[in-house]
Amino acid sequence: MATESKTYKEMLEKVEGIVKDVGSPDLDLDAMVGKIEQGYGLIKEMRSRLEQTKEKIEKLRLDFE
Amino acid sequence: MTLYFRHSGSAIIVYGNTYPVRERLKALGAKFNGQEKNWRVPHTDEALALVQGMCQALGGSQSGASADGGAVVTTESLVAATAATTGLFGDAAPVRRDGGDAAPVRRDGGDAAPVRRDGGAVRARGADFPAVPSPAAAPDESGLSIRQLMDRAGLALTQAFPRAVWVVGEIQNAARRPSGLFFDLAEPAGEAQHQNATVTVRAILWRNSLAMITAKRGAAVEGDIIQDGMKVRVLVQVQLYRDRGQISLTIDDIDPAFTKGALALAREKLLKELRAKGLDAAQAKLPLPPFPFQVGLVSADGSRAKSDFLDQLSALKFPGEILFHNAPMQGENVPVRVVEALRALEQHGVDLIVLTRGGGSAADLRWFDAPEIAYAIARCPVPVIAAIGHHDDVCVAEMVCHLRQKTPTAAADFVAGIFHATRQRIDLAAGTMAKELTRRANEFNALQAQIAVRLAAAASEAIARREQRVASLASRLGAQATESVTRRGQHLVNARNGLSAQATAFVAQAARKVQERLAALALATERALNARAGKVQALEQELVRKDPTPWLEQGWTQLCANGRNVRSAKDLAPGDRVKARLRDGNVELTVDRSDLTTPAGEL
Repeated sequence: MATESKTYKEMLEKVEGIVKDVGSPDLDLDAMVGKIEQGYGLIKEMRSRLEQTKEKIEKLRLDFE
Repeated sequence: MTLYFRHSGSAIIVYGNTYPVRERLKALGAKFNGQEKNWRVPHTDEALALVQGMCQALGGSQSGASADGGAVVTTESLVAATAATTGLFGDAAPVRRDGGDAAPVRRDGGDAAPVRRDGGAVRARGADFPAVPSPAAAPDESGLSIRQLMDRAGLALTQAFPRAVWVVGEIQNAARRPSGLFFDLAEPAGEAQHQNATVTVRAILWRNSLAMITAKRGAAVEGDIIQDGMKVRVLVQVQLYRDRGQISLTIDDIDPAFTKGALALAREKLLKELRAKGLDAAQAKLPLPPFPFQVGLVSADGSRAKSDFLDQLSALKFPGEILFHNAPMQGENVPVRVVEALRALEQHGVDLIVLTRGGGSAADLRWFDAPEIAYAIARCPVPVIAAIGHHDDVCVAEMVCHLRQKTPTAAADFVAGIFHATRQRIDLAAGTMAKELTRRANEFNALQAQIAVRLAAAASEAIARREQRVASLASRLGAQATESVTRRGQHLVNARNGLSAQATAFVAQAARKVQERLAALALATERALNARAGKVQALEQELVRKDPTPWLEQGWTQLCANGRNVRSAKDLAPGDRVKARLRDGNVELTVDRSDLTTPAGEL
């Protein structure tokens, strides 16, 4: 769980960095495209993680009840 | 008989031959003490002066007074007083003037018969001694015979101690005989200042005197007080056994309060020391072991106490182990041996120590007031249960121990009871814990439900927050990407526009250059054409000029040999073939001859 959280955090930080980098006018176009692809990929992964977490929490809640 | 007085607190005690002055004493408010055979006069200056006058008139004087009001003689002062009075020990023998030299000394030779008090009765004993020789009757040259010496010493002793005196000393070497109790009264070395040796005097308590004392003071006197090592205050007749030349004290009475007071004082001093060091309650603070499986027992081997203790434990099915350590429970070795036993058991690691003694003399209890035992118990890290006293008297060892029990059996009950009590405590604790656990479980359930709701809410909030953040990131990323692409598109448009402008400009410039080139070309062409036209014209003119046709028309011929115009006869040689162009055609000719002399115009 701790590793997942860390990974999520790392992904978050990575996306933050990508958003910052993409705003840079010096970034090569191909590199920018690559970063945007990577950013959207990470966002997708993060959403997936959040969705999984929500499902897990819901399952835990149901188990608890 | 003479009259004497002494001070006792706020009273003047008058005794001796008080009968003649009884009315005068009554007038002073005096009360007669039939038991002590004395008068107690309230102390005033006037009463004191009157009493002094009575005593002087009757040949008496003031006697010393002890702290408790009684006339007291120590064994040492007794000897010194005898020496001073009789001169037996040399002229230099000092006369004690302190409180210890309290016995009144009879100076008169007439009414000199000493008195002996037997249970309060006084009877004359003067007939036992010969008359005192006059100073003029000096010994002959051969000296006094021993008998004479003893007689004189006995008489002097009687004069020095005409009546019973209170003596303080320590009992040593006590022995019980059918006729009575025999012992030494001693002042141990070091008890008095500058005293390096123990001073002792033989004492006898006759059987009938003992009976009277026990009837008067209680039976405990014999068992509790007349024991070796006990410090006692006794009323004694001082006598000289002439056969052995030995002073002996015949005991008429015993002051049990003094002994008990001395013991109590010593005990109080010890307790005060222990309290000052915080040791009086050290044992009480020790926790009892819940299951004392190893119990140390300190008692005398073969004693009833040991068997009672062990039998009771056996009857109670004591599950533990008893480690017995033998130690005497009476006698001077008690402190050392008990301390050894305590230390040995402590080192063995027992859970509990029981120190017990069976019945016996209450006087033996004093050994358990010894500082050695008290400190050993107080400093012992193992709880010590003491069953020593068996009665209301409590010794110091019992005061400083963890718990006092009256008998060995009671001690065994207590030890076995620890298991029972522990089991009860465990049962009680188990019940309490069960209730508490149920209550806590209910509380935890309720709390858990609350926490679950809060947790779910917190989780949802956390997920929502993260989703929002991810959405925000996605939005920012999209915005950044769009902006970046837009920016780059704008750059492209700008570049394209720039390029178009540049191209237009270039084309325009190129067009201009082309136009310029065209113009220049046209001009050059024109110039060239013009130049060529002129040249053509010139050529035409040349051509016209050089055209042979008119000449041919006129009959002239143009010769060519070897592809070249033949301009000179020299150019031809006989045999050469020559082409001749004529006006209407060409003919080929052969040179037959050449003549360079032919004049011009002649053909």
